[in-house]
Formats: sequence, structure tokens, C-alpha cells
Amino acid sequence: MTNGKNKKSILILVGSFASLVIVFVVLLLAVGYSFNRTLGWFAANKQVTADDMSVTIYDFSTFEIYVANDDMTEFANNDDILTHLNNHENAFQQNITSNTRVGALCQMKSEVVSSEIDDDGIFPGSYGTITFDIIPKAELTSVTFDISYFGLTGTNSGVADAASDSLAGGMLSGHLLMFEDRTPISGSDGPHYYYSDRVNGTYTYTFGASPDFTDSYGEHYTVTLYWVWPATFDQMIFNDGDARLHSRSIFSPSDTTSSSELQTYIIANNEYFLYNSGKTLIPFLGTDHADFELNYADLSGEYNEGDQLIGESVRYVAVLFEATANE
Amino acid sequence: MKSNRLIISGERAVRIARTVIVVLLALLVCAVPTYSWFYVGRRAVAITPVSNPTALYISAANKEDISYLDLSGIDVTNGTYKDYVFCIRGNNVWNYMLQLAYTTNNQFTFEIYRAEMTTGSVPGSAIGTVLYVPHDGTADQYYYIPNAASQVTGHFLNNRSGSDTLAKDNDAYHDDTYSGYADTAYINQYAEPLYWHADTAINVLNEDMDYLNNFFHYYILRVRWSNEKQNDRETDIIYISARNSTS
Repeated sequence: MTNGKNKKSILILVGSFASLVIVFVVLLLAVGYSFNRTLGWFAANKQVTADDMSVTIYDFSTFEIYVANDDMTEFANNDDILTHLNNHENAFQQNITSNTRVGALCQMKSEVVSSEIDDDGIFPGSYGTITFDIIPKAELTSVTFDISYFGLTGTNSGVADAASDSLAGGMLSGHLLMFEDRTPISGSDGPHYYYSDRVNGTYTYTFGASPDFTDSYGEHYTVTLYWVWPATFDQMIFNDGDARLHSRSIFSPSDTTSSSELQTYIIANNEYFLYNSGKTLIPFLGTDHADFELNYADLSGEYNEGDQLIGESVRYVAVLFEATANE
Repeated sequence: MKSNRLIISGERAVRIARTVIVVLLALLVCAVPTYSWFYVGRRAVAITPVSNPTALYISAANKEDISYLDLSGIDVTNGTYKDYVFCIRGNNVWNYMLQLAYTTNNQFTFEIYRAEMTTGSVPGSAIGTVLYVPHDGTADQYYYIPNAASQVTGHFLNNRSGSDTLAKDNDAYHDDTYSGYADTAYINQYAEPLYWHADTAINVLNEDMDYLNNFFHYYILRVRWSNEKQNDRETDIIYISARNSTS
């Protein structure tokens, strides 16, 4: 072979090799930017944003949220629901075509079944748990969750649209209460719980000792929160034994802290609890939660109307947990 | 020839190129599918459906407000029964159970029949008629019992044996009714409520519902007497209840 021909071959070879490498690198970058948080191997675990004044780096390598059995087929395979979770501001993003997701999907497990209600939804009187895992990947003291509620409405064709800013959406945070602890109480009318340590918009999970992140995937730490939808207003303001209470209180009679905390919150945020068919809310007659008894019957009626508003306006309720790490 | 460039012969070059391409393709193939299971992240959403609320109401005839249901004007010297019309209406209810609870100062028995409404003249084959004057300006309405099979059959829950007009004063229902009341020895036996429960739930058929799943059913409450001989101005309280049921 002549030198000329060799050079030509090498040039062709180098050219095609270089173009292949370039193609591959470009592909990696494209893949990296679209799956910016899941691309573990081939790009740094960091996303860089820049605005006019500064560059901020988000480090996603310190922890992950994980749901053990993401097999809630009703939701995980329901493109309509996932699309609308996707469209919701700040939500949970689902890339439906590639089946990748930023965020974990779990069920608000309900422990109550009613003989009067045929469908599998929740209703006033329901209660249950929300459980997911945190996997720390670095030295952390705690993870803080910002919690918000939003609703998805239903239409005749089954498509759901976000209704988060509606009156019903605001009502969700008042009627679906969340607590860190509950204690089972035996009773002749079935299982019942007393709740304590209400979660009010944020919840911080503190790792006891240094979290274990020594194996490549990290140790799982389980977060369990307890939710309850009190059926009647008086369950939140009276204690067991009170003649005005026709069912069970959600608070223990000896736990005055939890009950007064919620009652103070109700007074300050009555628009999340009460509804009066679009008219002005009946005012709370008093200065202290001890004054609830002055017109609790009226307030109770408005709480029931709030329940009705939720049931009529909302087809699915979703609780969004947005987590940040504290090192 | 002195050269510090690597010179690869044509054939070997092609082989190297092929190997490189294959390796790169393999890496590429490995890269893409792994992301499909890697769905953890910084957020969690807990989601659940919310049940439809059911609405079930009791109204007077012509679907008018319950305050127009007027169980008055009983004259025991005239005939053996008197009929009144009430209406069960609602939304998103497919089955409901009827119940009665009443005091027994008067020796009355009660029957419930499914009723039909007609304006103007009454069909010739009707069994009994009740006239209702609507409060919304529409024409007078007649309600009638279509046939004997339209009776809502039921049973007492706490009648004294052998009686259909007196409640037991020492059973579980007595304890439920008066729970928390200390001295039950002073309860008048005719004030003790007698509980009656329909045998089966009433079905709401698709043709009963409009496009918003609203429905209404009319009923006639027949107040019957046999032992009363004079109008002795006793008063009773009767509760009519309808409860959503799954079957």
C-alpha cells in the first residue's frame, strides 16, 4: 500500500471515529438534560441554573424519596391522572412516554370501609396512613417536607383537571388533618384513634443517629404520617364523655395541648373548615376556643357543608410532599 | 521512514473501527433503559379518590319542603284510616332503606305504600286517593296507591309480643334510646318509641333518575286505627327516615 492510500484510510477512519464520539457525547448531553436528575452515571448529579445575577447549583445527591411498592395500578398506569399531576404547578413530573418519573407516588391508604358507600374513595369519617421511605445518600441531620393539598376534579370522560386554587382545594387542608402520632383506643363501636402532634404545612424527619449511607443505595428510613377526615365538627372540639358529642373525639381527654392547638387554628383559619353555600360564614361567637359551644351547632352545619363541597367538587385528593435536606 | 504518527493498515483500521462502533453502541444501549426503573426523586405525592357525597331528603308532596308535610286532621269517628303523601328524593343514591319510629299514645298502626301522582281526575282503578294542594301555583294533585303490591313491607324491631302498638321497655333498643338517662322507671310506656324497619331496600332505577342522577319517589303513609272510638286529643311523634344502603 502506498503512503497516500494509508493516509487516506486513516483520515477516513479518524474522521468516522471522531464523528461517532461526537455523536455519542451529544447524545449523552441530550439525555442528561432531559432526565436531569436521574442521570447518575454519565453526568454529574448537579443541575446548574443561571439567571442574570448568579448561578445556583442544586445538589440532588444527598437523599431520595422512595416508595417500596409503586404498584398502585389505578394511578401508576392512569395517564390521565399522571398528566394532570404533571401539569399541576410544582408537582410531580411524569414522563409518560419513557415511564420515568421525578417523584414517588404513594396511596393515602384508607382503613375505613363503609356499608353505605360502594366506591373505594374516602369520605368524612375516613382515616389512614401515608408512608414512604427516605434514602439518605450523605451525612444528613434531617429532611424537611413542605406539605400542600390539591384536588383533581373529574369529568364525564374521566379526565381530571387540577382544582387546587378553588374553594374546595382550600377546604382540603382543613378537613384532611394530618398527625405524627396516633394511639388506638378500644371501643364498642369499632377501632378508633386519638391523634396528637398535628402536621401544619411542614414536617421534619430527623435521623436518629448518623444515617447509614454506606452501601451504594443507602438505608431506607420510613416516614409514616396519620391522616383523618373527621366526620363532624364536634369531634374536633369536644372530648369523649361530653353529651353534645355523638361519636368519638379525635383527641384524648387528657391531651389538652393537641386539642387547643387545632381549635386555635380553626378560629384563625375558618375558611379552611367551614362553608356556607357561598354566603358569608357565620361568625365564631367568642374569643377563645372554649367559646365554641356558643354557636357550635351553626359551625357544625357549615363544616358539613364543607364536606359536601369537597365531595361534589373533587374526584381525587393529592397531598404533595416537597423535601429538602438539612445537613 | 521515521514517523511519530501511528499508522494502522487499512484492514486493521476497519477492524478497530468496527470494534469501537460496537462498543459505543453497546454502551449507548445500556445507558437508556436503566432510567426506566429509576423513578425516585425529591417529591412524593399521596393520592386517593374521594367518594361521591350522597344526598337523600324527605319532602312533602310535589317535592315541596318538608314543612308542608302536615299529619293533622285525623278524625277517628270517620272511617278507619287516613292517608298522607311524602316524598323521598335525592342524588347519587341507588338504594335506600325506609324506617319509622313513633310514640304510641294513639293506638295507630302505620303502613307505607309507593304512590303515583296524577293531576286532574283520578284513574278509575286507583285504590284510595289523597288530594294535595301545591304551594307553587301548579294544579291540584292526586296521589294514589297503584296496587296492593306497592306496599312497603316491614317488621317491628321492638314491639311487645302480641302487640303492634306498644314498644318493649326492657330490651337493647330501650337501652339505646335512653342511654344516659338515669331513671328509666319513670318513662311512660306510650312514649317509648316503636321502631319499624322495611324488609328490603328500595331500588332507585335508572329511569327514575334525570341526567344529574336526581330522583324522587312518592309514598303514602296510611295511618290506620281500629280500637279508637273517639277523638281524645292525644299526640304522637313519628319519625320517617330514609337511609342510603348499598344493596
